[in-house]
Amino acid sequence: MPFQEKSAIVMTAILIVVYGAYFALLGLLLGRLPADEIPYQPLLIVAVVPLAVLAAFSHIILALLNPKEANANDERDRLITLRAERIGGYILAVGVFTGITLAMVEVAWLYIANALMLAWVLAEVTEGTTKVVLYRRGT
Amino acid sequence: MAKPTLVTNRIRALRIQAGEMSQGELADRVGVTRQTVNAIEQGKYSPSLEVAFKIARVFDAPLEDVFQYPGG
Repeated sequence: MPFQEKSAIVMTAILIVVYGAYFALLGLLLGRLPADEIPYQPLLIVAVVPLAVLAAFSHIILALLNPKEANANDERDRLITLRAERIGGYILAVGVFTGITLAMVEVAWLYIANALMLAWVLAEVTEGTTKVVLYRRGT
Repeated sequence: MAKPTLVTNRIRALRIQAGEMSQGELADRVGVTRQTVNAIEQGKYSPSLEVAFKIARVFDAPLEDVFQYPGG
């Protein structure tokens, strides 16, 4: 399995776990408090820490397990990355316009920030999943 | 499901003819990963012209002896 495919699988799994927990916690808080009383800013910032730590740690492990492939990135890897990023980009664009729409109707900041955050997470998960599909099915 | 490319190739046969050359050795000589050579052999990836020429040159063969395209 190419290093880039392993990386995509690991990153997608980490994103799902970290932001699955984040949005579950946010949903829990929204069930108990009004949106404008939830301190979502620290939550957003704190969620980045496990994401960064897990991403760095997992990539160090992947590189140690197969040092020769750690920097491998040939024309097929670049083509797959481009195609996956393009599909992820569509999701991100939908999220941005959703954020703009939410701002125009003046909902609470929490919803706008988290709609954008969700769009980014979904775009990244889509990008990772697309990479894995393209590596396995063919390009 | 349709194959991603209609281009077929004789890379595996040529590797065997060339003294059981491994995918890894061919990959190193062409400058791609072993997995990419494997994907090309299986018809999952159609390489760039540059990589196709490099592969043909490793086997000292014309391009069309290595890669084929149906019809025409």
